[in-house]
Amino acid sequence: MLKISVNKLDELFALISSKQTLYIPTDREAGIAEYKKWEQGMKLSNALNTVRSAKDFFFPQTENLVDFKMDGKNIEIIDIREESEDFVIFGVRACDARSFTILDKVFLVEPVDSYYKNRRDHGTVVTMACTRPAETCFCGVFGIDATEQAMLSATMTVKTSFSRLTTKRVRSL
Amino acid sequence: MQETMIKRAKELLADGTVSRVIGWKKGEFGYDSTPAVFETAEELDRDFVFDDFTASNVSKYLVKESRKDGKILAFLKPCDTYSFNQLIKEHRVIRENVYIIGIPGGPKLDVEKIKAKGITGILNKKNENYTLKIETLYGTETMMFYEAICGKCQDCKSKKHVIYDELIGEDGDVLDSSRFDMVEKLENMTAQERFDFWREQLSKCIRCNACRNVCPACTCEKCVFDNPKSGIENKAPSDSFEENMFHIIRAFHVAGRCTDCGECSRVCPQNIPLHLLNRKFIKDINELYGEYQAGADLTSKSPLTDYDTNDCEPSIVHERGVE
Repeated sequence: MLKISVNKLDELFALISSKQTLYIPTDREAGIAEYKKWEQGMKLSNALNTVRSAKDFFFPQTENLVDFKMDGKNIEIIDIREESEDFVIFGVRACDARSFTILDKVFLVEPVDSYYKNRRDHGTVVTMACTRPAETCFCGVFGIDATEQAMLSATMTVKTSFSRLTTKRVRSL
Repeated sequence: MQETMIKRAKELLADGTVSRVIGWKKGEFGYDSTPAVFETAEELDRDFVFDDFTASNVSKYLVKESRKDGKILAFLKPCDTYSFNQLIKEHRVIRENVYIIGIPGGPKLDVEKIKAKGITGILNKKNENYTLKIETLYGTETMMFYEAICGKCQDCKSKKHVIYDELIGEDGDVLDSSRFDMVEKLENMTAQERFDFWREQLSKCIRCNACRNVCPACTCEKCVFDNPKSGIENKAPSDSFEENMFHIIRAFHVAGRCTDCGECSRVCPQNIPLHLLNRKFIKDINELYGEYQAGADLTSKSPLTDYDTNDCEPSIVHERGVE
């Protein structure tokens, strides 16, 4: 279990961001949080969850699958897939993180969805445990536990943030 | 009031005037009421609710409900009656199959306003002399009643019921509301500021379509956005500008028919002030074609589907459109 003081969180973000693209939940307006690419000065949101879930990082609502060129009756299919860059999503809640395992069951079995797999292989998920659930939370009903779901999990108390490393991938960060 | 309504509904069910009742029922939490249809007195006693959180307009459900067998009793607040009138004019509801009881209007409360104050884990609330005592998972919190008032109720345009078969409580008057104030503010911005405002607001849209689904003016059986032949069919456009067009197109489609019931903004999960778009259209129609309130009566035609020699000339588009 590693500990880091909450005042040093910005330094941690800066450090992660220097190695890979980092996304954190940040407030758009009071209480409405969304994932944004981290920039110096960006504050981690206190909201219980973002309005749009972290699923967007692996399974976006729309994406370009393929390009094609028509030349009379000839169709030239252009593969626009490219290797995704490595990225880190910080502050994902357990409920959203659990959804990734369900999506994996759909997209990572034969035939494997290469678009999804590409993003999933390059993304590192850092979850944040919830300390003040809402009346609408359902993690308990589904047996979701904050610390099991991700490659790296964190809990935030007023002064310090605890994190537990669970895979080798994180050590490389 | 809730008791009076339940009692009257039971009477009308018992004497056979109606065979069903549409109202609201409690959800899982105190603030969570949803429209519901009741068929027996037992259901009414068990589930019917009418309180500070029953802000939803049930008129639109009557489009389907009035086409079923038997007569249905509907409880309509003043703003809801305007929507119902408009639906009658458009032949979307069968008037004979609906028995309307006019009930007092708001102000209703919006749980999102309570949450915006940082109060979480909300279970229920008590109103003590216009101070709200909110029971949460984490203890009791307080806030002023007026701070939690639903956005649409803040600019109430009328406490008058424009259609009903009977009334519970008093009828009110058309009010002198400040509902166009924010629209004027937007009009006074420069074109760039206004463009930026709307781009920012509309980019929050997640295309949940709640605004379209709740709108009493949107009753097309096949919406253009669901119709592959329309050319604008989409569930989630590939770029945000195309996304914004959903709202602008919808505003045009309801123009002249929107009664300003405020439901669109109330249901938006992203707090987009859609009512401002629709109000701008209403304000423009008032200025270009003369004062018109959709749904105020059963005979007047919408200015956009009716010609009068006093209508503005087409050149108005050029005059106003150029900054």
